[in-house]
Amino acid sequence: MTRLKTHILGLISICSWLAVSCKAVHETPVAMLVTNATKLSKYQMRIKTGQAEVTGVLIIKYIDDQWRGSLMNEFGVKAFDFAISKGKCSLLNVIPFLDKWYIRRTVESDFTFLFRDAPHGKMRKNKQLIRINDNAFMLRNEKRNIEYQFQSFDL
Amino acid sequence: MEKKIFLLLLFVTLFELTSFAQTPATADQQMLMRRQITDVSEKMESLICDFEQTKKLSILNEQILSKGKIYYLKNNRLRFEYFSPYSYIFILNDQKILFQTENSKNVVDVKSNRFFQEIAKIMLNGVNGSGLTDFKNFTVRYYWDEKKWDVIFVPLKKEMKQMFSSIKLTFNANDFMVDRIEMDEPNGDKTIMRLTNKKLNDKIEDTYFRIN
Repeated sequence: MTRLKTHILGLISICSWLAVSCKAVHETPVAMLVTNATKLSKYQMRIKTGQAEVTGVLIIKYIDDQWRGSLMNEFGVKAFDFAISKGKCSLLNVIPFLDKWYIRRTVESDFTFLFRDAPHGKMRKNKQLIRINDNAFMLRNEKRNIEYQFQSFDL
Repeated sequence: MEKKIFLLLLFVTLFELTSFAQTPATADQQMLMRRQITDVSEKMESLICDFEQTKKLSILNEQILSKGKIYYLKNNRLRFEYFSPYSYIFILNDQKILFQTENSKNVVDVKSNRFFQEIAKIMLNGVNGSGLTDFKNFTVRYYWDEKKWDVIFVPLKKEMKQMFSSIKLTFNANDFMVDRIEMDEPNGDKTIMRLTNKKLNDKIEDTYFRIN
């Protein structure tokens, strides 16, 4: 009887793990980022590059047939706006001290990846998206050694 | 009928404009404003208050509301603590700034970055009402009303101009303290911070401003 219970418990564990894995494999960045397209999605964001680290607030909304968003610091000082058009990200209204071609190029490329239909966990163009928990995930740009962490406060 | 509706709309608009418009302060009023505000600012040893911050994002046509508490001690010590919708602490202690979220802690030297210098200065001026005569960096305009006084700072320097088109401090004409800070950005965004439940010169422990 005890052995049967152990087998049943083991089977349940395997099924649960499979269910979670299947969900993760089919989860796309956009689905992770935006759980409800009709609502605002809000994230506390943390960007790490080498020793440097900054935090901010990311707001995303689907408006006029495109994804749009703003990244600002917690005081409301905006870093940049962005819009995704034809699958590509363009930065807008970039704060002057961040408005450098190499920053634009890197962030636009990383944010384009965020809104693409790439499967979870797969490496593509040195970029990888990893689910941390139900409310958090991370985008890693291995080439540039940048980590973007997104923690939803859309609760 | 259309003419009547037009006249009614015109009347309502003009009524609204005249009811809320403040008049530019005369030279005497400006002097009085500066004296009263500076006097309170100089006597301000400490300040504790609640704040409500509204960020208007033009690209999304949305507003983001956040709330928290401010602690200020004379000699450049300031603590902003956000409780909602996220947890975040900003501490300015003389020449050091701490940024702290639930998962991260970051300390920077104010002198290391002009952006931080400007931000620290704006925040201190906003909370204690100082900097009314910073004519080197801003064009300063004064507006008078019986209940409130507005002081509008229009940046003169290129870097500040790119960040803010204007910063408006609204003072309560009874206690001469800042009630509202409005920062307008060139792209149409706006940040409004309302300060409430102000407690002047209450004791605040030094630990509130500790940066390790």
